[in-house]
Amino acid sequence: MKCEDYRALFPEYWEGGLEEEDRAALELHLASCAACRVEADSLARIWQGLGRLPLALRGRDLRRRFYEKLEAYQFGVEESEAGAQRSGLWESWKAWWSRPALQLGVSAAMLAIGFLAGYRVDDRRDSAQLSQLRSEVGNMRQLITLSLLEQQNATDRLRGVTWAYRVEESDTQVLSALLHTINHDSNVNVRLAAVDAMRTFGNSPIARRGLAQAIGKQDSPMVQIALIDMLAELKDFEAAPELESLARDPKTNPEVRERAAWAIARLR
Amino acid sequence: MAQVREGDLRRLAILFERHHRALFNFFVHMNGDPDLSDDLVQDVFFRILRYRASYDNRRPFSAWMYQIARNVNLDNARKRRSELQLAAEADEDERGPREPVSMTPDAERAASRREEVRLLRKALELLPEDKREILILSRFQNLKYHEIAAILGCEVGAVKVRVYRATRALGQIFFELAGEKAS
Repeated sequence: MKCEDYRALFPEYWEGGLEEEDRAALELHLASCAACRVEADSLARIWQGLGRLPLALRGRDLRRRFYEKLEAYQFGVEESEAGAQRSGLWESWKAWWSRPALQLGVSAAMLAIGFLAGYRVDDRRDSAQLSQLRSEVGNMRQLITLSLLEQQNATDRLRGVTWAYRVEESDTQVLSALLHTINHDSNVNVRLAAVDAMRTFGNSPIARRGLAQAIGKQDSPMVQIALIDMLAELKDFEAAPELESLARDPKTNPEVRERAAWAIARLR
Repeated sequence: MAQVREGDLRRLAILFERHHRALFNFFVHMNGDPDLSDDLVQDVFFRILRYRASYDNRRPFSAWMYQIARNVNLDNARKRRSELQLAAEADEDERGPREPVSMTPDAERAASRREEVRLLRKALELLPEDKREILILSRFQNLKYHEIAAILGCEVGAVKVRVYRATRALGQIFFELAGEKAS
């Protein structure tokens, strides 16, 4: 093998992914070739540096926008497929009734119209009506979120998590349902989505404590990393001891340990 | 994905939950703009919906998804070329205040690490697009070399050589920016 062939193995070598035989051959070569040794040292610094580049934080809206579009697209596809077969009002009503998002949208719009009408009729009643409207919409959102989170189907539970973005920050019922989902849902994707949705409750000490405690309960490194990222994003300095013990524990997944160390450095 | 192709569109939510973080980071590393990356992630998933009939079950989903992501990125880069100068100026503004003259050893270490990260990000921006792309796929997306080979349509051996060459090119730009001598 030529120097160039050995050098093509560098990235896998730094990642610890080389087969034993290739690793031994590369190390033997490095021991005898000063040029490759110097290059390996200087480029290892670049490779490791890339691993330290901070990940950008996603916008809050990414997930919400996706689900809204998916819902609309799906509805459009189903409508166009079924359009040829049905024309009755009853079928349209049934299609509408099966979609909580549309129900809420229409209900909220009707409430808003009702509110505006009331506002015009009697100005003195506006603040009472406004608070009633808010409370009714809030209750509906909470109801939809909690009921979707309890569904058998993972896709429905994911939609429930998305609804959690629309509840008030003070909604402790949804907060505790989300924490329950993070700790007990059987589906990794639902757990990941629930971790993200906890951003809504970022100011709550209960939420932060719950997130820190959830790390140890996870069997999925992906969810552990998502929890660590969220704690770092929320700048939860009180989570540092949990993160430190995670970073030190040899039984922890190496990527999770690395992420915990990164978060500790970020919190300092 | 096979179920999405057959018309169970709700299943796309599961693919979205599994892949949107990685895709978002792919775009942010490619273009440095989180808001734009947000839009591009949406674009990828809706191209997946639109072109779901063309998905081939025998191929890994991630390879197909990243091929779409590369096309989305390419289309966007064409649109964006004229705005590049503006982005570079914004980046200059984001550098923040200078470090104080006198620092403790810890603060000095932290400052030098920050500077290294800044230079590395700058070097990554200056890297030709194809090299930047292969580094992002291999270093940030947790993709195996055979998966990258499937995305790029080349042999695994070629991926290894290209990852190494891209790292070397990045190193040269980095050391130049840092005023250090490259090996």
